[in-house]
Amino acid sequence: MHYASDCRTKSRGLYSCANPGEKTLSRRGLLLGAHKQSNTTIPMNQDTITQSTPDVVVLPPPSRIALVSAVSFAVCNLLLSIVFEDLYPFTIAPMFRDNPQLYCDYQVLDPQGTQLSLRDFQLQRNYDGNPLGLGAGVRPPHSLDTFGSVPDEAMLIAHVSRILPASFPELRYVDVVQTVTGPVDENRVGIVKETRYRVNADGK
Amino acid sequence: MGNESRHALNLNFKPHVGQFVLWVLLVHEMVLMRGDLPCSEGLRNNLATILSFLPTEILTSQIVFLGFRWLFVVAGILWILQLLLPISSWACVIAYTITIGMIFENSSQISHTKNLANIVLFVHALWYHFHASEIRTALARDTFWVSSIYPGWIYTLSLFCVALFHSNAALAKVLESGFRWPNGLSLQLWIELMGREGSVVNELILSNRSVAALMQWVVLCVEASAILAVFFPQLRVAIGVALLGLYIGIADSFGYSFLLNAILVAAFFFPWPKMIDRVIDAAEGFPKLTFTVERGSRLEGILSFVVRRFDVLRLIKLSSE
Repeated sequence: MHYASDCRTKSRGLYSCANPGEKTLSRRGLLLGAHKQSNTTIPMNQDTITQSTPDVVVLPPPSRIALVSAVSFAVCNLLLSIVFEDLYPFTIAPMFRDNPQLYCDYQVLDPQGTQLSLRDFQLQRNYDGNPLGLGAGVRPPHSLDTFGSVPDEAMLIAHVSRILPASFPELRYVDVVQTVTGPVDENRVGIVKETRYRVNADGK
Repeated sequence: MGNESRHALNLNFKPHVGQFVLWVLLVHEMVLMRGDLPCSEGLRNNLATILSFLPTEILTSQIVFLGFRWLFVVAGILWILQLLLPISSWACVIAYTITIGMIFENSSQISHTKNLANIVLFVHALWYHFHASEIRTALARDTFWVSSIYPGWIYTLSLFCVALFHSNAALAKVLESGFRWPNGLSLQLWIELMGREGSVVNELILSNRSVAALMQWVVLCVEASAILAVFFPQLRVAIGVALLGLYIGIADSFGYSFLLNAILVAAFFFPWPKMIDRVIDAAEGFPKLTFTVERGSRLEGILSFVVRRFDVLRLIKLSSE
């Protein structure tokens, strides 16, 4: 440890130093050697000034237990964030870590053309840039929509026809519009496909 | 650990950086933290926070949440006032961790805007734990702001945690998607879906995939390089500027605010301790604002209490009559 040992004293279990190797007392570079609160008279440039010497506190070197605590916490932070990925407050910060190439949007319309709730048909988008459910205590509601993938026609129709009679027994059918956004050319993204499916309550 | 690293750990600083970080984090969270638990419905995840081992009845209890939320506020005020140390600092950090942990436990979607703040608060509670007596003595002697009482190991540990958080983000991308991650298409899709309207940068990214890919490479490299700042101080400012640029870019492109994270980058990646020393030296020459109060009066006690804790440049002088 390299403290300014020439002016270091220990009192009441504390290290105290008027000027522990630093220029805290004077911007003109004076080093004052007082150890206690005192008024010091300093001749300087033919003037005489009276300056109060602050009795600054100097920290002792970090104890072994402090360093062990610090290293343990750093190791915990490193390992827990990598092993568990998201275990609050430790996190690997996984936002936008995926690599989607396209995504879907849905609309569900009743026979009158009124838009129905996507949540009711489990077609809502849960994705917000973070991996679904990671680090959250409650799993997001089930949805057929997975950001970055497109379910095929059979899967989509089977999914909706399973929900339709149970949740909307009064409807004979619904129209499901699936819009796929992806690369339209070498530079831009946009709607690459829009398909309308009619799903009957009887599943046909 | 090399001699230079050991020296860095033993080099102590004036408390300004640590205190400013504490004040900003605590006041921000006391004022802006939500007042109730979210009530997302659904199946529970097994492991979401370090509180996940607790029974669901506790994790979903509004009363428990409000209790710890108010404990955080009270303990936070005591910590800011440097009273009841180090109990107040530990109570504050524990209450904060439980409060935010309970919010996460009851959410189906989370953001990573509090993790780093929580970790840095914990590190600063270590400071107040291991050096409470020195802090109390410095306050009693009215030398808190001129004592080198902010330990180098706390500064370095905070820097490490901030740097690790950002480098982890790069690691997560590479582990999940490999080096195909920066292909430009994914960024274009995110901006198409969640981008902020009116952003000039977004228009550029959406019109040119090569620009988008370049942006992603920049993000990956900047995030990955954050950990280098711990071991190479000469790179610290450049990496800090790049990380702040990243946060500005995220705010511009997506409208997401990671204000606390950006403040922590600004606090630990820039050479504030050296600058603060210069400012304190300069401030010594400033005329002091002198208050004359009756010796032994209550007003003297209050003013003395406040000045010792908040007169960061020691510009106020109390004189008794």
